[in-house]
Amino acid sequence: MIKLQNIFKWYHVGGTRSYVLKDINLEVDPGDFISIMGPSGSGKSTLLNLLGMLDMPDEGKYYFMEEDVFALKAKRRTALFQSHIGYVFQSYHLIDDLTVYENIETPLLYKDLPGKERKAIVADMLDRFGIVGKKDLFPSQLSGGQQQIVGIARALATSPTLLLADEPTGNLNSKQGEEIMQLFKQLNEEGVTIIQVTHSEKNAEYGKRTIHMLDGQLR
Amino acid sequence: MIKNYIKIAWRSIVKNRFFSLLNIFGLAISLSVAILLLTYGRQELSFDKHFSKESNIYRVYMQTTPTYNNENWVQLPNAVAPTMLAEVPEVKSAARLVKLDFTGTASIRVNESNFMENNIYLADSALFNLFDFKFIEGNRKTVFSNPKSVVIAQSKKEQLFGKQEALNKEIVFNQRDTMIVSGVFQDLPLNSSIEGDIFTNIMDSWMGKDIYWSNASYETYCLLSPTANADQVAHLTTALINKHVPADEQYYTQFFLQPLAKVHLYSGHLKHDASSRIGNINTVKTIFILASLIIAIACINYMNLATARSQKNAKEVGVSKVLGAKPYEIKLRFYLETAIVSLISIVIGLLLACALLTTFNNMIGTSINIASLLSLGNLAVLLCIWLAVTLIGGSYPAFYMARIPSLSLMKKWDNKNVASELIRRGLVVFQFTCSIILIIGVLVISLQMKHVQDKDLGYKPTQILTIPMRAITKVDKYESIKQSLLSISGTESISTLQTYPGFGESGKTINAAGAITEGLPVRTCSSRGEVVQTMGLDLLAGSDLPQNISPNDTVCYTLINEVVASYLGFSNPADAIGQPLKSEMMKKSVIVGVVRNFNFSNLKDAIGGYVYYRMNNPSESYRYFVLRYNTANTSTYLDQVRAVFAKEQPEVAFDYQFLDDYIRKQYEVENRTNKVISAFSILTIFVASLGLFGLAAFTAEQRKKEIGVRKVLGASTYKIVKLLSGHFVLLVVLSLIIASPIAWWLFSKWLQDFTFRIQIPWWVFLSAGALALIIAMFTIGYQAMRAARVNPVNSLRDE
Repeated sequence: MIKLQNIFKWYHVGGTRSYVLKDINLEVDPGDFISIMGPSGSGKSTLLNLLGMLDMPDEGKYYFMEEDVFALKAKRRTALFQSHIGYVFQSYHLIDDLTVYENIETPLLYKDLPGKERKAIVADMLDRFGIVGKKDLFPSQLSGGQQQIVGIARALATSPTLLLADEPTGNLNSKQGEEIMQLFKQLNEEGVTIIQVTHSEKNAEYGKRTIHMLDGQLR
Repeated sequence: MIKNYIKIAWRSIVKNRFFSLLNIFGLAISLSVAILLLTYGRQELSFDKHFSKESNIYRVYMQTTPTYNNENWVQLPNAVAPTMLAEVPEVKSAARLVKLDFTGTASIRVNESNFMENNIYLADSALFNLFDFKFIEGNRKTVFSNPKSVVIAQSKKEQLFGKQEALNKEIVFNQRDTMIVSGVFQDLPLNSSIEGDIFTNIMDSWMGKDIYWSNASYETYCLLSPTANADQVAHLTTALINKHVPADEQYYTQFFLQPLAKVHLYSGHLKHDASSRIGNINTVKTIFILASLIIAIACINYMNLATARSQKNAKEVGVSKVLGAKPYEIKLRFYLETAIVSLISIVIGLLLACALLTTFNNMIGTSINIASLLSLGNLAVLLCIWLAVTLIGGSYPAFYMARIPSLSLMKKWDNKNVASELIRRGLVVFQFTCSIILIIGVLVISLQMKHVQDKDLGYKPTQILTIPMRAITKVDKYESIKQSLLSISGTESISTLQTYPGFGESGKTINAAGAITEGLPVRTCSSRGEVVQTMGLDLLAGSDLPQNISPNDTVCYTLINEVVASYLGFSNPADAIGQPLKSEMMKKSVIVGVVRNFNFSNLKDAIGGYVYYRMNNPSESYRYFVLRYNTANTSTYLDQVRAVFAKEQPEVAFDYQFLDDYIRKQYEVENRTNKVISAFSILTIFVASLGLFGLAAFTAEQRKKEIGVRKVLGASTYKIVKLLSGHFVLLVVLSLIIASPIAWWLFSKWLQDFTFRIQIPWWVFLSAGALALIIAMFTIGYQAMRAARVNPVNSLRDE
């Protein structure tokens, strides 16, 4: 599903290159559940952003479902991203001015789905994550755990095949965190490929395999 | 999608109440003024367009010879209209128009009541057809069939006759002529150049019947056949000069046709326009420029305030992008927000405009009503403004936000974008430059108007009362009134004059006796009584005009000013006394006195030649009592004067004017300009301050962390306020540097209109800058203080 070949990313610091990612080679199969671990500044998030097509490397190739991602035009890449990838953030990043319902609906609007279909999908999501009663609340009226559940529901609304999560439990207490990880596990069992960045060994264990990073390199 | 965006936009407006209010308020105020200005401008442009024959009606004007400085006059000899009609086939109809007694003023008497009227014209009956007069009483074709006919406007009819029918009723003019009302016409719209309330038949008078090519007093309108070429007709009309006027009597060289559509706005180069409704295309242009400027400043403000919230919006934009929003969708979202805000602002602005209408009318001297404010055309203009504000005001925020990368969610997005920072500062500089220019303008105009007021005019216009006296028909009546007025304590002297300075003197030429050159054009004023004493003139040599002359004296005695004396070659005024003079008044004229030059016109014009004269049976009658009085209690004095007239002339309306009031009115346009500019400078400063306020909030937000760090390191509140305010002060100084030369150029040009003008003092620029700076400091200071007082623990905490 995903193939990274010799990925390099660097910044220029006073004339010398400072590498953020150094010769990354990685293959992800459909149905995988990968946890990326490593200390702060090791390049985890950069790698995840790269996988999510939000950032570009300075060197190397990225194949997503056989397509050379960085050779694609921006429009096509957005389309690819839209139809296959969902993103979950550490700080949820719900749109403050929209209700739970509307937040989940937003990516569907961007996909230009007709109203009826959107309604069905959102209703399905609300039901699936048990937040039907909260659909008219605004993010500020929810607890962190609930907000993250909405974040995940929103990420899954477009039925992506790949879910990227950047420390999804980082801002949550341990009980809420556990719930989210249970949810991830269940999603994975339903066939969604998941790549998560995490600091916690315990959360990493939910994944099928763990990748360790240090100074921009895989170990 | 759009629904969703409107929802987001609306919620974000409601949520950021403070900024939204700031924004809507600023926009609404600016827009209300822009709406009023545009309505006024549109009204000016609409002048005379409603007449059905508009495209074929022309006003004739003529160019005079170099003796008269090649001036263009709209007042022509009364021969022009009938001759054109008879000899130029393309001319289908023509009408002459002249104010009664050249002033339009008369005391009229209707049903035992007296009225002083100021808008009386003599006209050819063709005028009614030319300008679509609609008669509600009488018949347009026959109103002037009988002699001594008069037609009046409907509003005038209601004032004079109430609800009764006016047809065949009598109106007595100046106790002399009794006229019969033969028609009542619907008032012409206010945007008509023709403005008379009362018209009598010019053919009843020598003015219409005695055709001559000399005296030029008649405004002339003509109707051409639709196929005619106006230039061709003008050419043919010019050819009439050589045909009918002997070469030595030609003081005009050419006739021109001015399309009716241009009469209102493009008559600045024409002299002697009788209409009080003369506009100026430059005023209209200025108005449109001002309106655009106001809208621009408001848009700039909007942009500044909108982008100042970018930090908050960055997250939302980032999320949207991650969720798959395309850049155009982000732009759309911010355009929609702008559209909502500007729509609300326009509605509020329109309401405000309605509320401000009376004030605006008084200030600009217009008569816009609510109906024209809410007219369909105006609403269409508003729609355009709405689109323009949305497109312009929304552009920068939309493009700015669309550029926010989705990565802003992952990292702390560094929005210290040099270009946008420059743009934002540029916008502030632009706003403050406008404000400073306007402040300088207010100061310069005020100083000039003070200069005008304090200027020694060469005579003493204060404590002079003028009273129309045309209605006095007998000499002994005149003498008895004069004696009664003299007996009132406080009366110092009385003259009876053709007119007071600057209002309806005759234009004549003066020359040395025996000279063959064309002579000097001068203003002449037929006078009786102690002119020097009454007008407060400064007699340089000789004496005042003689008080009493024998009834068979055939000499014209003249009192000339220095301009005339030096034209005649007398460098020493005393040498002129007793010298003969060639004048149009009388074959035998003699100089009895020379007075110092005085500003009989307004201070925009250089002083020209002026002659007061006294003779038997002058061709120009005395129209005004001019009283010099000296009393502590003017109103009591006025009551006593009024009582004299009520007793002596019970059938005549009493009217009066203080001469200094009249002089002040001459600068009405300037005083109005000053008021308008004052209002505008306050407005722009206010709106610019709103923008600055937003920008300061933005900066404080942006540098929150830096402020926190500095505080932890021990910076005092004062130091931080200084840090935050410093570069704004620079912006204001920069604005002053840009504004000063522009303002200097602009207002020097304005001052050029005045022959007697001030030098723009240097401190004007400094005070304008200081004022702007103080206002800016107050605006920024609040934000800076707030930022400086935040507990660093809060600003340094991450996430």
